[in-house]
Amino acid sequence: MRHIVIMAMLLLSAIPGSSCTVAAAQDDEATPGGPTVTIPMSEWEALKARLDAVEKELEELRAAQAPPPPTEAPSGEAELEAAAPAPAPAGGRHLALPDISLVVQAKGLASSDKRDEERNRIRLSEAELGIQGYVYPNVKADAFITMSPQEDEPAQVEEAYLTYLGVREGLNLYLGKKHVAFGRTNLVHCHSWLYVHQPLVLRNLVAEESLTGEGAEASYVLPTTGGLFAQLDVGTWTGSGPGEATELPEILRGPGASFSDRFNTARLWAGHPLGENGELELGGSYARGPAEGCANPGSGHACLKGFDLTYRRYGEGTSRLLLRGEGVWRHEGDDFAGSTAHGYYLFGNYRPDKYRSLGLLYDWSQFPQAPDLHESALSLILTRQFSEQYYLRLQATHGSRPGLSSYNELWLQWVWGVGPHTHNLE
Amino acid sequence: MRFPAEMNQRKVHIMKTLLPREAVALVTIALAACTLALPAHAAITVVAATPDLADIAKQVGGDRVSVSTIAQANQDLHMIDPRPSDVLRIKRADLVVRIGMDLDLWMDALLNAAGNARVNRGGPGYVDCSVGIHKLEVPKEQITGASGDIHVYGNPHYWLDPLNGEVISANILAGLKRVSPTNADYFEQNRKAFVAHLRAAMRRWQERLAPYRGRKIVTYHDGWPYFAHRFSLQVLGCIEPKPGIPPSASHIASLIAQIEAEKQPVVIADAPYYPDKAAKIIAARTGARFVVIPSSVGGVKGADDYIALFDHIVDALAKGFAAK
Repeated sequence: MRHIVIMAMLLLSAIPGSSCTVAAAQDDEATPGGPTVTIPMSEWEALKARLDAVEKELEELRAAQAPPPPTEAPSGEAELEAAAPAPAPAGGRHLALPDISLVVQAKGLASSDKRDEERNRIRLSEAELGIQGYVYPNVKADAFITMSPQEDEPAQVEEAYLTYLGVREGLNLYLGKKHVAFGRTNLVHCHSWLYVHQPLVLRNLVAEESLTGEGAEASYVLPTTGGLFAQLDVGTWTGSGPGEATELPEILRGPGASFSDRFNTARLWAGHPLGENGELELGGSYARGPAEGCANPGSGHACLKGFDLTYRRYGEGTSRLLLRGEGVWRHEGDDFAGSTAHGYYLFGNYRPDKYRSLGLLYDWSQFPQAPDLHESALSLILTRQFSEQYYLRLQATHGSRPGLSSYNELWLQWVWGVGPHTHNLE
Repeated sequence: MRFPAEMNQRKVHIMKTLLPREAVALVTIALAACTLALPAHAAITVVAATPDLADIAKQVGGDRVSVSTIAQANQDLHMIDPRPSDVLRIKRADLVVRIGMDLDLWMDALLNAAGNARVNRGGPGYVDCSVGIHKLEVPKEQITGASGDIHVYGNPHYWLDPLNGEVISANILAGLKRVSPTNADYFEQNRKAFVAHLRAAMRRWQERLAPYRGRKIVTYHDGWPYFAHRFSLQVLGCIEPKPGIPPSASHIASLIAQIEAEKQPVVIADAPYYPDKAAKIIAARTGARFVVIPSSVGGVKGADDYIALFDHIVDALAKGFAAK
């Protein structure tokens, strides 16, 4: 650093009015206001620019030299305020920028079902752009724009909503387009799933990916006693239209909820610790609204009921055991005496450390458009987490589906992301 | 597309949609789970992110606080899954104490879910203990995924410098005074006593490790720069090549070469929850001593409070350095 200081001194010496050796040497030619030096304007500008650069470099070097850690800590509030936190690095959140992130997924599928158009291909399945930040004290804005090259609309707003935090004690309000509170995993974005694709029952009866609506939702943590957690979510939404139900001889897919207009949702979610490291969760969900594409055209309405049970147990470090079961029933018709389809899945996941996890998923589901048919599958899922921002997953499935008594699939999924990306409690 | 007939049907359906039987049943069950109001708590309810912060909050708050912690001892703080019961605790909290510096980002999900404005960012009951900490390893250049799981505000393991316990306790004191000004004097006295104990213990620890100044340690994760800085030790390297990245064979070979080049024996040390396979291989190849040191209160038996935690760390390291 010494040579920079010397250079700064030399540069300063060239500036009129500065007390430096060059100026002192010209004392005999003193003029009012001190000695002067006449130099061409271009040289003067160059010197000024150089001085600015040196000063900047000096500042950086000073900042880089960490002072010794404090031996005496601040002892009170006033001193703490004086002990300002370290300045935020470039790109830090102290800047008035939202959190911007991109999460990308690619999937490859090898399948013995020759009807599957996606078999033996690797596709970019989705890129999710997240923009998140606070717009006001206790008002948070989240927007997630997804891009899927295979979709009819390659780019769409998956979620864009405001969260009013703590409107009343335990009460949050959401306004905008978002995943609705239905079932245990509907709020979870697909890059955070513990499997490659949505369990069959959710895909056929609820949504291909997540049940989404435009509207408002209230989420209230109930004032319970003891260690019982209970949260009630109530929402009213406008649906995004019918899902895409397929018929044989294609692979049969349910249309999901297919709410075409305003629909309402309610979910009660309860949890209680089991010992120091365990947690048992129980949930009941309900959704009802006008639906198109029902098995009985003209029936007008569909109703979804869901029940879920989750047990999590944590061990040392990052180890975790998760057991989950979820069942969904879908009814059609105003009196719900119309067609009914249901299904369930059972899922277990063991994470011995932060790098690996092993999952087992059993699926069973009927189809709303053909309730007399069903499909089932058993999947083994291996996940290798390379970092917080990058993982690789392999899912091997053996199952049966209408038109094919037995099939095998092997999925490979890559997920990677950049930038800060957070979601609500999942 | 909507047709007039459907629009007419909607009017009839709206009432049914608004009050479905099942939804009413859900609400009824929910209300049954509630009580009209909780009894008033005599103690100030504090929820701390980690056992270390919880212990310091206990020391400062004394018998006028009730403290619980989200992360348990021996859990990796980088990967905590928030639980529903944690939401409940945050909802009931008067004061929330967190590490900050992006280590406990999971606290944000809990704070958002709990709907307790008192303890949200900017609220009187929100305490970020990293305020006033002299931060180490603050990135000086752009960081990307190539840097590993690095924290933009610097290394967040600051509680492992015992003198930072003073800063942490001052932050907690300020928070407690905000939520309970009538107890301010009581909290001040408690903090003074805590700091006095900490300083006395500090002299003891410094004396114990004084013979080993300049000695080198290898850790699994880059979690010990604050401790090393305080006691004039040097971190020769980490088994993780970059934070959060698992070790490769070539990196372990490189570490072995580094350790073998050292004139004085190196100690390999880290928390019990990190994988110890690589550490044991390195120890076997180089003759380095491998010791397990807790990084949190409760991490090993007997490390029941913040001072006992450092008693264990200092003792284990001193024995490791002294071993032939």
